[in-house]
Amino acid sequence: MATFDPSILQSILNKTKPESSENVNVVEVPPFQEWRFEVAAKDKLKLKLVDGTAEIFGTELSPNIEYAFQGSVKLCVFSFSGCKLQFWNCQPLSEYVSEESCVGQYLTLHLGLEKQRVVEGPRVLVIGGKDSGKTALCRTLASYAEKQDHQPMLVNLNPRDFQFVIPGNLSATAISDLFNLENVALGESVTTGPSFYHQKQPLAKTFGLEKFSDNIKLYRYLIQQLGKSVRKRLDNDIKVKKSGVIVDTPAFTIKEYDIIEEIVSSFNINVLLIVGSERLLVDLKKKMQNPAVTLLKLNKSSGCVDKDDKYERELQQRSIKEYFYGIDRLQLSPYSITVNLKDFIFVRPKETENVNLSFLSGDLADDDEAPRESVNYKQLAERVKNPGSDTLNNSILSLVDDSQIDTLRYLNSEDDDENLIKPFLDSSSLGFCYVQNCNDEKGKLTLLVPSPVQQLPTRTLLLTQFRYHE
Amino acid sequence: MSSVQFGNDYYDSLQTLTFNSRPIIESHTQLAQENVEHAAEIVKAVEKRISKAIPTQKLFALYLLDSICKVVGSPYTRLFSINLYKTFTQTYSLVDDPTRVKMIKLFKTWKMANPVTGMPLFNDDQLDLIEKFLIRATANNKVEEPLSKEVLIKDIDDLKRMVGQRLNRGTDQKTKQRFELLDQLRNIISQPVQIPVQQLEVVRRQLAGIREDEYRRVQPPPFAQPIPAVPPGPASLPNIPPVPASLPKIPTPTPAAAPAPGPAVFSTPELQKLLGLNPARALTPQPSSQQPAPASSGLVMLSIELSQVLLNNHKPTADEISLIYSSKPNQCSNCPKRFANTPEGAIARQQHLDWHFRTNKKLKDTSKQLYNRAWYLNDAKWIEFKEDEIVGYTSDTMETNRVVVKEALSEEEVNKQIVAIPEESDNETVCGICREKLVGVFDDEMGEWIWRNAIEKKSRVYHYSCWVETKGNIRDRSPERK
Repeated sequence: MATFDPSILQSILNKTKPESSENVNVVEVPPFQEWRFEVAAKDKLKLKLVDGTAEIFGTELSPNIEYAFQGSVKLCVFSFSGCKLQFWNCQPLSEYVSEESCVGQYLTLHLGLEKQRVVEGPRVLVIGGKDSGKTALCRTLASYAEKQDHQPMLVNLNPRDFQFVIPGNLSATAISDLFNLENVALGESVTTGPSFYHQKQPLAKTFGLEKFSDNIKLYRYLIQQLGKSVRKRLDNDIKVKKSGVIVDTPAFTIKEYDIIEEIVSSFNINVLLIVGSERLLVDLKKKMQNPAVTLLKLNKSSGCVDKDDKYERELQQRSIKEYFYGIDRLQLSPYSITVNLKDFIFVRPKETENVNLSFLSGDLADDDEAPRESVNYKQLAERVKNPGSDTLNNSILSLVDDSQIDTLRYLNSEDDDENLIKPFLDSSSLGFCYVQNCNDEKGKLTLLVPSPVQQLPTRTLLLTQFRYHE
Repeated sequence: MSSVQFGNDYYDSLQTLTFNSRPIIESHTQLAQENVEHAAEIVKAVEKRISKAIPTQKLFALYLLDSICKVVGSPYTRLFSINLYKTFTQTYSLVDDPTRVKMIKLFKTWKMANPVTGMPLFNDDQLDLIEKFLIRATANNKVEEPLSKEVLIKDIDDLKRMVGQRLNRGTDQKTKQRFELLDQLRNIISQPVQIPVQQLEVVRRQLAGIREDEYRRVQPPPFAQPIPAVPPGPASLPNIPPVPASLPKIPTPTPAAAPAPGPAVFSTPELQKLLGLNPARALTPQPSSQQPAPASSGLVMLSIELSQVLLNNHKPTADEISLIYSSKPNQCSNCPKRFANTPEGAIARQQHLDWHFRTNKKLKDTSKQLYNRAWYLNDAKWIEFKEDEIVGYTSDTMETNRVVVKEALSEEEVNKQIVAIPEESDNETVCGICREKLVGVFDDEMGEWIWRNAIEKKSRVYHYSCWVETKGNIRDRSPERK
């Protein structure tokens, strides 16, 4: 049964009206407690820190900024010192102060990790069930590290989620300045314009499918690729290396143990955090033989909300919109460009139905020990044979860098072999475009692109499963 | 027969009034009517009966009192008025709750103006005293009732009605606030969660405090107003007396000392306790008994060794918290970024403020300039990328380059870049990059029509500023693509 939380009463009773005529509400958050709120899809909540200090997932609030949270948002404002907040413009769907906050534990964890930031910082992998607060934890840890002058590498391996990119990607981004709380994708990647915080430079590997389980082999392959680039970057960048890596993941269970192990080896993980699942911890302890990895369990925050599909989709659509158009206060201008279909090579990830068979076979050892060179690229991705309006309309395309690909050869043929697929999958995304229109008769494609170009920076495009509607 | 004898007989006869018997009450009312000359003795007999009857039977004698007064009226009303307060309150204090409810209902009928005389049944002073008594009594009485959410919700609804009436008479901020808070309180309590009895009790006491305060606020009306009658019939357990629309001033002082009116009600110690909140503590950072946080965090961290035990049991100390807050006391006024109180911190802060200055300047100009998202880097470039290119302030960086380029493009400079309008062309053309118009002007010095801030490349015309801005991305225009 639900228990009564006196702090809810408190939050209500504490409200006093300021003198202003506007309908401003005041919340007082006692030390080590958090104010949780939820904004309806059509609403915009304005928030200001009036007294004390406060943070949202580790990102401190400035007393001089009126924050605006637009659309479906579920957040919590935590305070170590106790704080007073004002909010107005709309009534949240729900709001209450909770004394059950995990943030104290997160800070303890941060302090422990901080101790490792000497030459090579901690490489942290966060795993846990769906909606257990993994992303909130990763954000908090990255924020605290940034506050202490580090530049941690924040890695997202959840294709449904997005950090400085749009959904469908695995990404790695060094965090050298604060997150922008008003931005659904945590902040801006580099633009030509100004921004409130320093922009971030992500590396994006497009997976293109919504669920990692839609093609586990491709998923694992991209993890390896991303891991390779991150390791190289760390070797080049002593500051990021000292700061360490924080890896966010989709909801894994012990069935995905081999993926977990793949991540551990790809990113040289030494701290494995299990959020909210005792069971998963016990199972992992049995399997994980690697003595270099410390397994730790964290409580699931009682503030975690179930993200239903609709909510998730809304956020995904919003992140795509923000990619092209920016946020309210920092608008960007995308461009429309018409290109010839025949000038591009389209590749799409395979959605193999039998992709799980190798895992069901129970003979995991075989699979693991299979030499990496013998990857069957045909199982990972395929060339789109006759790209046309039926496959392309409204889709999101990822512009995969073609500098490693012999584009001329493949433009002049329908070939679909390893020499195309391998370099294609090894390359990162330069950005995304949205298919506004595909004219099959004329063989023309009208694309919405983020930058004013006369032609795209690449000839190889990855057709993702994601659709966008303006 | 002497009056005393009649009175004694009448009293003896009342011993039969052991249940709510209409015939007995009617017959005794009739007796009173027919023997008005013995009124004083009859009144004494009824009062004695009310006083001596066992608690469960007192009500019926009260009903008789009521009946006599309503049917016969004077002189009984006057005579009963003398002791009415005492009679009523003593009875009230001895009977059980259901009886009290019935007494309250009865009292309500007394307050009603007589249709003929336009006056209440009894002397106003007595009625007022009783009303005052009931207000306090119901507030206290509720302690003995089983406390439930339903009771509280009723209580809140009732209070809302009272506050609402005040609101109707004129809006003041505090009243509105109290009304809304009651509303919110009601929402909370009506949620389907278990609320501990102690919490309910505190809420109840708070409500009682609000109720007293509300009663105090009711001003005497210029004229006595009739109060709407409460429909007769079995009571559905109202725990709370009806809210009087008016409550004339009473001569006797209220026994309870009046606390400060207004929101003070919401900050009583009980509530604080309920809320587990000490506002003084909540608003100010907890004072650290330890020394101020060291500028270098090294010392604090020595005590932290990452382990499950630590994670489960450690609560960050003030010093540890200060590492991410007060160890860098100088917060930027534009954003949440903090800087240490050290020479290095001061330099970093200055550079940071410079960056804000440049950025804010650009932000103000967003209407003039279109911005777009840059392409991501490919693996090779990303691997070589250094964050200093974004956040660095001194090195020759990508972003500062951009800034330089833009800032270098003063209006003067931009306008120096001109393209002569070809003879066959219109005066207006569209920039090949931003798709905005270029409008021709006549240049006196050159003696021809030109586009300012323009550049011609491969027989297309662009804004010079757009061209400079996008030129950085060589891949966009690499010759082999043409």
